[in-house]
Amino acid sequence: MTLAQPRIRFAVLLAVSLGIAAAPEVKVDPATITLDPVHSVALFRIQHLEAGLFWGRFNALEGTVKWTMEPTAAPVFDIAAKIANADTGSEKLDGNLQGPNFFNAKEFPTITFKSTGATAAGDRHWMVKGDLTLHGVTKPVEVDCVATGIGTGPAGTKVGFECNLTLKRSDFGMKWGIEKPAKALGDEVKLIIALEGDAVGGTAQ
Amino acid sequence: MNYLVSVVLLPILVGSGVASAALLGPLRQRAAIVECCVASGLAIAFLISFVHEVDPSALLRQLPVELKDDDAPFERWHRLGLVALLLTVVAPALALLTAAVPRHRRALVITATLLSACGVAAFVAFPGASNGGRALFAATCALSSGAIAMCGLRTAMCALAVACVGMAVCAVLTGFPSLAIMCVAVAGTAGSIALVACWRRSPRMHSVAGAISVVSGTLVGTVAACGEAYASGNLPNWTWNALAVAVPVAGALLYRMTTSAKPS
Repeated sequence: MTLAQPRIRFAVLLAVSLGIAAAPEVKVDPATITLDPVHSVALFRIQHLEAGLFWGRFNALEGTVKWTMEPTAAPVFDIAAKIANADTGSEKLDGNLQGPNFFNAKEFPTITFKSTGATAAGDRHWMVKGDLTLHGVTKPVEVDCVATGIGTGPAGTKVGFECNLTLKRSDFGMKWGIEKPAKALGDEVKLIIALEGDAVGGTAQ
Repeated sequence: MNYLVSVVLLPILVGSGVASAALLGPLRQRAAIVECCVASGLAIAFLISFVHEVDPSALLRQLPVELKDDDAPFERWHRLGLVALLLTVVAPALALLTAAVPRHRRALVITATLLSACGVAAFVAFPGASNGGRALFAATCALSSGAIAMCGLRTAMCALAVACVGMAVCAVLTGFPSLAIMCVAVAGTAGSIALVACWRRSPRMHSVAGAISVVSGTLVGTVAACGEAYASGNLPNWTWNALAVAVPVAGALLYRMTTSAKPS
């Protein structure tokens, strides 16, 4: 049996043609970006006594981002912040934040965000929808996220993001200081989340 | 209404008002009425402070009822309000029961003290509550109630006020201002009752053993367990229990010393 035989030659050509036609689109597996806690932080801002804007931070964010690193493909976030890592620069205030009047760290020790979808808002810029769990309450939120860069570190590829979000803490059952005592602290909290992590995987098939 | 008026002053006025109604009027000859009003006054003061400090829905959220449009979380420390509500109901019942069967008063008071201490420790599970922790919680309530039961009314109210002020300071130091506010409300009420009792001395020695000791001991024991469970910072956990037990015990010793020193 040789290819010179007309029937066999036809069958091989047909098989090759069908194979080309049925070939799947080139898919890119997203890389898993594991957050580097040293370089991942969330800053929060709240108004104090209707006067100054007070800033604090949650250090050492944990979690992963899955992203193909293509400018149009949206990343998928799964991030957690430990309340124990709240840092205002004052031990007393940190204790207050962890207490039942604010985050109630003993009952609700973490804040989590898991993305559920996204729409492109520009080059490497998305409006990411997801579920935010804070103080035991889970609500859908929309976060403005930008991929700030892709670099090379000693351990491989580094990827950075910055996300912005404004929320009302009363929506999450954290009401102390809004009405009782009146206007001690604002209801609106602005969050700026800086993420950096090491990318692993992400292969074209 | 101003914040401090609603969470501190109003509870003190209502709580001490309820107690004073019995202590100042002709009813002060009726021991059961005095006991009922003083015990209820303390529990009502805590309850009013809780409702104004937190939210009435926080109280309802602890019950198996559905609240419309309520999506706030269930928080275990909100059970403080429910404990105060139960004590407000139990206090008059216990006062009337002990007055109805004076022969069995001692047994009734001991039973009520133990039931209240064990019941509240079983019902109110604060975060990280182990079996040992619950046993300590029940023991704190029972010991505190027992010590207060051995005091006279003025000494008992002074001891309660001092214990509550101490726990308010602990609450401020450990990042729990709401608990501090409620402690101040109870301390103010107890202090006011002590002042009223000093001013208008009753010809009869009012027994504290009963509704007053059960309500006072259960309240300070529950507050201590709550403060200890949620405390953040460097304050040793035993501080709370020590305040809840040691201050009433010191009050009882002082009372025994002063009464035994008096010529008969």
